Amino acid sequence: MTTLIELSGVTKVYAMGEVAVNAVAGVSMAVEPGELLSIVGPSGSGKSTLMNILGCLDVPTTGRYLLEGDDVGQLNDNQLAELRGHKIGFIFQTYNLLPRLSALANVQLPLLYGGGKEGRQRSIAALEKVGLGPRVHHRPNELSGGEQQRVGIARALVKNPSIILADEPTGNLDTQSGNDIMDILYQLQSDDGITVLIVTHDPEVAASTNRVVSMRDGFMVGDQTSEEYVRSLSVPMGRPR
Amino acid sequence: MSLQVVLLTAISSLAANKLRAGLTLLGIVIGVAAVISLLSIGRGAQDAITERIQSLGTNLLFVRPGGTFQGGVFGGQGSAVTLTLEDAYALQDLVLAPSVKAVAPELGTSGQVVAGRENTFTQIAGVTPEYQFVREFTMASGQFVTQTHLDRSSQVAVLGSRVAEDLFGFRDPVGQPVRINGRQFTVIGVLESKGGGFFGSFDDQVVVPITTVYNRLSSTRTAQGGVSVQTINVQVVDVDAMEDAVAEVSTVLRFRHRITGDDDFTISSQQETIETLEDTTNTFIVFLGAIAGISLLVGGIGIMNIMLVSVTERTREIGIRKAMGAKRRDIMFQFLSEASLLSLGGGGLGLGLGALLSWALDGRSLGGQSFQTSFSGDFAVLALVVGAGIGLFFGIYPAMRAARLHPIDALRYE
Repeated sequence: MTTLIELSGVTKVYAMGEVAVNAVAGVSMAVEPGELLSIVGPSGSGKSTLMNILGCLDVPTTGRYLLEGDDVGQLNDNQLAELRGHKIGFIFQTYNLLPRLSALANVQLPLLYGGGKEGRQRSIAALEKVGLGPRVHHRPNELSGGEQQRVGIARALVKNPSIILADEPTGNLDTQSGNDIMDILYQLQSDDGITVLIVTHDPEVAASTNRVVSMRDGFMVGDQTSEEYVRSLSVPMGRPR
Repeated sequence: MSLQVVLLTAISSLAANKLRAGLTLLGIVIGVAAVISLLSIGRGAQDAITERIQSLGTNLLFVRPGGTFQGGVFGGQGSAVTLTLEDAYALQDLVLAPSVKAVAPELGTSGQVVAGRENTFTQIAGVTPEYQFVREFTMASGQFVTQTHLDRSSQVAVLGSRVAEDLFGFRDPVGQPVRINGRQFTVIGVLESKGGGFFGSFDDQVVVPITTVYNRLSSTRTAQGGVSVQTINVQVVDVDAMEDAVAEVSTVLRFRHRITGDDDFTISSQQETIETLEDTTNTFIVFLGAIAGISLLVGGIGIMNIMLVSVTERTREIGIRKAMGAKRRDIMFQFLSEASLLSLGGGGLGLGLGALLSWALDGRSLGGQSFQTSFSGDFAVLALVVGAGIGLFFGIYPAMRAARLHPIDALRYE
């Protein structure tokens, strides 16, 4: 099986007025298909920028990003959109559902863009998978936060993506709803073999994944198994003994 | 994305803000309705003019003296200063001018016509009996000028319907005396009204024998001493023979006037008059349409304005759609389809309103003039094409702005 994601020396520089900001200062890593991993780090560590690059919403300033063998840096706008549509499912902290559309129509949205037929059945199946079968015709404002995020997950998986990118998926939820969401994500990885990448600053969420990548100031400062990560947490950070 | 999905999406987006969409639509509706109704008024006026001219006969040629009418210097050596009665009779030649059916020479003057206490200043047309048939006049009462009247230079008059009404009201003028330029005339007939608000001189004239004008009212002699005429009305056997008739008439007159250079007369036809007038009225219609077009332009700017607001408001939606795989093209189509739907809808409704307006105005009188409107299918096509065009033209910039948004910036937009 080819490596799903391969980053080598990826940087991203933003111009903030006169100053150039190194949001990502050089990251190299590889992700194999079927992994469940998290990217952790404080705000400003560059983890969101890294996720944008992984999600083909942005291209690296330097370095190389191969997604299933395609060099993302070489692609134009349309080709990036194509990749986003076919290989990537996004889950956002704020759900980002379209308020005017029903749950079902929201899930069907990615299928509008080069999705093919039987969209309705696939969308209903996706909603049933996240336990929202009876609520397909509700609008987002008629659903609880947890339910909205489940619509978000259904939307992310309706196209059978290679990877699901979740940006703080539990950030706006209470513990119970958050745990439910995480359970669904674990299931997608274990039962369906979908690669799931979660960006979070919640150590508990990170500890529950299989692999934890730590970011700080744009650099990758750790790439551990969850056991190693948990052990490192009990050690005061940043002050080596 | 299929067209159906694009349209449904556009409709639901517009429906989310009904008042706003409605007001934007109204701008286009008013613009298109204004264009349509003004065009149909213009077209109606044109039709009315053409109709009236055609009612005066389409197979007519008018021969008028050249030179003197333009106030220029005269060309043909030894030719008559003006056309003569003899010229007119010479055209009634079956051999030299077989295309000529009838000839009606005309000599006009103007004068004071008095009947009892009423008086009017009007055109006096000196004619021959053929005039009635050549110009297709019917009698409301009495009789027309006869050959006998002509031979005797009789002091008889046939009144135009307007003159009859002015002088006699509802009384029958036939047999009544009138004074024309101080001379006693007897009314022998009244002409049926020809209508004609634009060239209404046919109802406002008095017809007398041509010899009477020449001998008793105003005598204009030519160099050779013949009776001068102002116009020779030539009726052609058939509309298709117009060109032949022009050539024949021209040949006869050139021979009679011994012209080798430029003609000292001009021949014009009813058709030419109609064409000239149509050119004029076309300019008038385009002018009306252009004025109405300004309101359409304003409506288009309204669409652009609302689409720009919509793009800003829905920046986040654009970001979400892009994250879900929407290409620039998809976003562009989405916003263009909304703009086009607005303007096409406005075009359709405006067309309906304009058609209704022109129907309601048809035959109404306004400021003394009766309106005639003419609505035709090409206006419908025009309205829809212009409607779609406005939507595309004013929608393209907002749509491009939407399509160009960077997905990350759009997603972060609050």
